This record gives sequence, C-alpha cells and structure tokens, in this order.
Amino acid sequence: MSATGLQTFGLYLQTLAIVTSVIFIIIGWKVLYRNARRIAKRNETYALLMKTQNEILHAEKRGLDFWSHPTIRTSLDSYLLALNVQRIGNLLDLLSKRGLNVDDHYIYRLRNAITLDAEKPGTVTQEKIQRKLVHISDFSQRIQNDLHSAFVGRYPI
Amino acid sequence: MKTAMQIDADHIVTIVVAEQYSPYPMGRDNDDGKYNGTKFRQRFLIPSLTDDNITQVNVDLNGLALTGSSFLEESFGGLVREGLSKEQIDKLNIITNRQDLIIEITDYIETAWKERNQMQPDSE
Repeated sequence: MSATGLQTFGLYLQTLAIVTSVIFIIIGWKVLYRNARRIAKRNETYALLMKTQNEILHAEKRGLDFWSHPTIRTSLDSYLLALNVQRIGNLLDLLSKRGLNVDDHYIYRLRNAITLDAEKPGTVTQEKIQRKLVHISDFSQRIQNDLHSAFVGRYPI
Repeated sequence: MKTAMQIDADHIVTIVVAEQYSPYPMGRDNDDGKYNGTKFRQRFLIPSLTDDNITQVNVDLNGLALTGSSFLEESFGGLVREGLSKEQIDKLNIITNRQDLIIEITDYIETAWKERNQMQPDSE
C-alpha cells in the first residue's frame, strides 16, 4: 500500500472513530435522558400519590369522627367533609391522567358513606351510621390499595 | 341562577349545573343550603323531563366544585319519589368526566325504584 493510501486509510479510521464516538455519545445521552425523565416522572407521581393518600386518610379520620358523634355536628362540619371528599376526587383525577386508576365504585362508596345526609346527621338511624363507619374505613383502604397497586404496576422497582 | 332552558332543534335540553344553578350545590332541602337538590329537581329536572316536546335532558356536571351525595340523591333519586315515570327518567343523560358520579346517580335512581316498587307492588 502506498503512503497516500495509508494516509487515506488513517483518515478513514479517524473519521470512523469520531462518528462512532458521536453515535455512542448520542445513544448514551438518550438513555440517560430517558431514565432521568422516567425517574422524575415517577417522583412527581409518587408525590401526588402521597398527597392523595394523606387526603384520603384525613377524610377517613374526619368522616369517622363525624359519624361517631353525629348529634354535635353543625352544617359547617358537613360542608368541610364534602370539600375534603371533593379534593380527593380532584386528586384522583390527576392521578388517573398519570395512568393510576381506582375503581370508580370505591370513590362513589366513600363519598356516599361520608357525605350522604351529613347535613342532618341526627336523622340517620344507628344501623345506617354503623354501616357508614364500616364503609368509610373499608373504601378508604380499598382506594389506597388500588392506588398502591397501580403505582407499583406502572413503575416496577 | 339562570332557569331558562334552551331546547335545540333535536328537542334536547342541556342543563349546565355549575353555570345555570351553582358550582357549589349542597344538601337535600332549604335547611341544608340555598342550592339544594329539591330546588334543582323542581326548577330544572322536572319541568324538562315532563315536557313531551323534549326527548333528551342532558345534565352537565362538569365544573362543579362540590358534589355531595345528599344533593345527588335528592335531585335524581327524588325524581322517582316525585312520581315520574320510567320513560320520563330515561330521558336523562348525565355528562361528566367523572365516571363515579354516573355510577352514583344510577344507583340512587335504581334504589329509589326498588323502594317505590316495594311500597306499590302492583306498579312498575
């Protein structure tokens, strides 16, 4: 091989090395970017999930307190309960947009147990109140379980 | 509160609750709040559902900042207790991006039907 040929071959190898390096850098950057984006998204969703769980626990506690002592309640108490439940619905909507879904029956059952006839708690029979207490605790737990399973399914460890 | 309802060319009425009634409806009757279920049922639902010229009544629940169960039960379950026929109640079409609200309303109507049928075993 002539000197010129060797020079051309050397240049060719040099160019190939540069191109290959650039390709590896782009691929590496893409992988890093994708992973970082996924982790960021996971963290955001997790933060939202925690906020929702706290709101559910708060509603559960407030609902159980309310219906354990129904005769001392005011209309403001029932209003606050309804607002609490509404916030849960809004947060669950946001989680649903991130692919974390909860059985709609559970949301309805929790809202029903907490807010139905909360404006006139003194008129609700003891039997219905007992059922409400069970449902508040049960459906609060079911929603939290659904959320947890959906999160683990979407972002496996 | 705007109570006038527009009937379109297909004889369909659409009630946007948050705009035409209140974004914060609550409770069953006047004791529970100004924008309660009884008032909503009597001012909006019954006039449109009992109007023979109207074939469908869309109730748009989107945009509500508060959706308590007492309001929903009184508004929709109350239609059955008020004596409306199945054909009239079937004109209802609930519009919402919250599926849980549709399940809840359907359940209140079905429960009210069961209670009505138990009281009047020979009727529907």
